[in-house]
Amino acid sequence: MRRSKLILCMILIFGFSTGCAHYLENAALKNIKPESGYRYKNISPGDNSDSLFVILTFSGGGTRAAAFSYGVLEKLRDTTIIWEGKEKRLLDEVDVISSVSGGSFTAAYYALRGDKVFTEFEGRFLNENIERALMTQLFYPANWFRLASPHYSRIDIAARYYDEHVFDHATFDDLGRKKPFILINATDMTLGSRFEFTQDQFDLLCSDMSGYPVARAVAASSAFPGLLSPVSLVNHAGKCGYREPGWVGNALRDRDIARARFARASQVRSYRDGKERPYIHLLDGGIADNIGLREPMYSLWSTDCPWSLLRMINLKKVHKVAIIVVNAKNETASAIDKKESPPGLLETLNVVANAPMDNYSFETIDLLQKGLDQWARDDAARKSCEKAIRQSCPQAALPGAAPHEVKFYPVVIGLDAIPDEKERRDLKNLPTSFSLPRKDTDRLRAAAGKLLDEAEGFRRLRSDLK
Amino acid sequence: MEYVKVCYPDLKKVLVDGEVSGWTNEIMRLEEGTHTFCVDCPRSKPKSRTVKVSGTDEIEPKEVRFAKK
Repeated sequence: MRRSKLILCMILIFGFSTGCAHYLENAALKNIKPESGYRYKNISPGDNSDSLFVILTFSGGGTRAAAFSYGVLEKLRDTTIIWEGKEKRLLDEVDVISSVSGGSFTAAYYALRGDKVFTEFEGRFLNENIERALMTQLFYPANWFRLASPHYSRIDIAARYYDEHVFDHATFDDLGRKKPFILINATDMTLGSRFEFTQDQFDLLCSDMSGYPVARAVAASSAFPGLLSPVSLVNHAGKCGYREPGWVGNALRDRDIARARFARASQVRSYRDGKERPYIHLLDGGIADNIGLREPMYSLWSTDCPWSLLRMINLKKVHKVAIIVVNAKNETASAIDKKESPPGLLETLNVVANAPMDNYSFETIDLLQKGLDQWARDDAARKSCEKAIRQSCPQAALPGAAPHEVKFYPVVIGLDAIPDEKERRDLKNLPTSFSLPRKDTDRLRAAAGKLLDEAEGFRRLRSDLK
Repeated sequence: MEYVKVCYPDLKKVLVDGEVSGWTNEIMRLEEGTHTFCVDCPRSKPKSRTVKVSGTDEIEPKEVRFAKK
């Protein structure tokens, strides 16, 4: 009798303690310290030059995206270049990786473990049945009690699993100050806009990101709506002496002439009111940008971005820019058009969730190409004008020295470019999940390398770096 | 993309909205909108200029002038 009471008592204590479970809170920051924290300007270049600036963007798409992006890392590892007289691997020139959802696992693992990704990642993530492992977590009694708490949810179980089994409890402090700089993208549920896990973003919340687990950032980036709950952050704004960047006040005057800039400034201000927004809830980065390209484009077109590539170009630090977009978008065959009856709720929700993301990704890639074309046209117009002036009026000159010339290498690889029809159909039909058979992850890796090899922009880059 | 030339007697770095973003007397690329320029502060006159930059091109950049004190 006494023994059974003791057991009951222990169960109750265990239940209450886990039932009071709370998600891991992000730490408050006492004072803003620009010289510390995970931000681009604190990253040491090491042997990586700024003059050749390589950006990778890894899309969402579960394990399919993780394997496809991993194949790109393998290809870059095996690609030798000569830059500024030194022979090196192209992989060692990657400056920034901007990732979303499934792609964030590859990006974060590489940023943490460097070349060890090539011996560890397959066993720890790519060929693991993560989906089953997460489901198994739901059968642990400790997790039932935890889930009973209103402050603990499915995403916390997922983040805990990633933290223990994939990322070895690594925090942003463990990423160190080496390149590549990774941008793990999530989506702010209220604004519907990008939220990057960088100290510059956390400064807005007066929060110190250095002790924050990388696994939680990756979990936020891949918190697919409905399937997983959002990751929540505490907004400590107003307690750290944060000073707004100079561009924000100016941009707020620009509602009529620069709407995107105005919108960004308004978003920055929205975080500053810790009373109005005491908590920030984050979902899958794919909702705001499923290919991770928007932030690099912001860096390329604006001096407002904390790691503005445009600033580096104006200062003549960068001469060549390669942007490699790795898009693992799938296209599962649908039978809805073969049926007379209207599609059901699940089929409809699938379209509602994916079609806007896919359309937006298409537009984003188009926008990048159009922007680069316009850049080239502007440079060409100035050159032809200078030539005409030299011929007709040699003593005249155009105002100012010409802007610094940069060569761009945009590369977009996607499953729809696979030349072999069967291979293309098979790989495009792979579902978005955290479990794929090894033969499929192997095929995705091989396809990524081959597609990169055959991409016109990549060929041009390699030829210019011989 | 917008184009701005910050005119100043010496070669100096130009601060745009508080960040070093280019060089004097060379055309720099900027996003459309309102920007605050500062050169060689506090030895320049004026100390800073806030200008709306829109509708420029590489051939006719917006000129923002500073003099030495």
